[in-house]
Amino acid sequence: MTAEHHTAKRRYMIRFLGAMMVYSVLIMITGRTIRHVDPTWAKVLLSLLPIIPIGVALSELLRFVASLDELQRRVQFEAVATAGVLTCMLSFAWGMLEMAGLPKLPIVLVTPLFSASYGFGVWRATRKYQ
Amino acid sequence: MNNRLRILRAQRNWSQADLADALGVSRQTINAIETGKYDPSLPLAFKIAHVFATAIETIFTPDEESTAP
Repeated sequence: MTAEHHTAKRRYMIRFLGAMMVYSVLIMITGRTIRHVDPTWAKVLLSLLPIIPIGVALSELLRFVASLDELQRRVQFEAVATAGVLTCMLSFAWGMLEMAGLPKLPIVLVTPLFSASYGFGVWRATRKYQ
Repeated sequence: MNNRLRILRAQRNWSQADLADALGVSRQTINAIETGKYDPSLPLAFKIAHVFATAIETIFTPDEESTAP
């Protein structure tokens, strides 16, 4: 790992974790206050508030990927492809199962499903080039 | 694609980390190239040739399958 890459990774970790901490706080605030807020437009604004730190975290992720070397970028690309395929397959399969009577799951679960699939994809691609 | 990266590096007594630093890539990338698990891009291959002060074709040679008609 080069010195520049080490610095970029450290900066990414600090900013990403910072954004996720802000996200956690906003999710708690939104969850506790949304029922007491009126009118509807205020509810909409409040419910979209946690999206801001998610956007910051994802832009930091993109900046970090841009700082990687070509093999590391390929690993990230293969991980995203794996995550896309798994998320599409599993969410579509569950959608079909819902028609068969299984419980309906909230669409907000797609994001953690994609994140878990992405983690699996990074592990798989890293092993491939080791 | 085959390569003589490990041999050239050993001749100069460089570690994978030394070569990685010279090329601005990770040590894992050097290892993946040396073990044949990853073929570098043309710009990186030229950079490797430049670091070893030699021609690119003295480091990288094609597989027999890739040269077959």
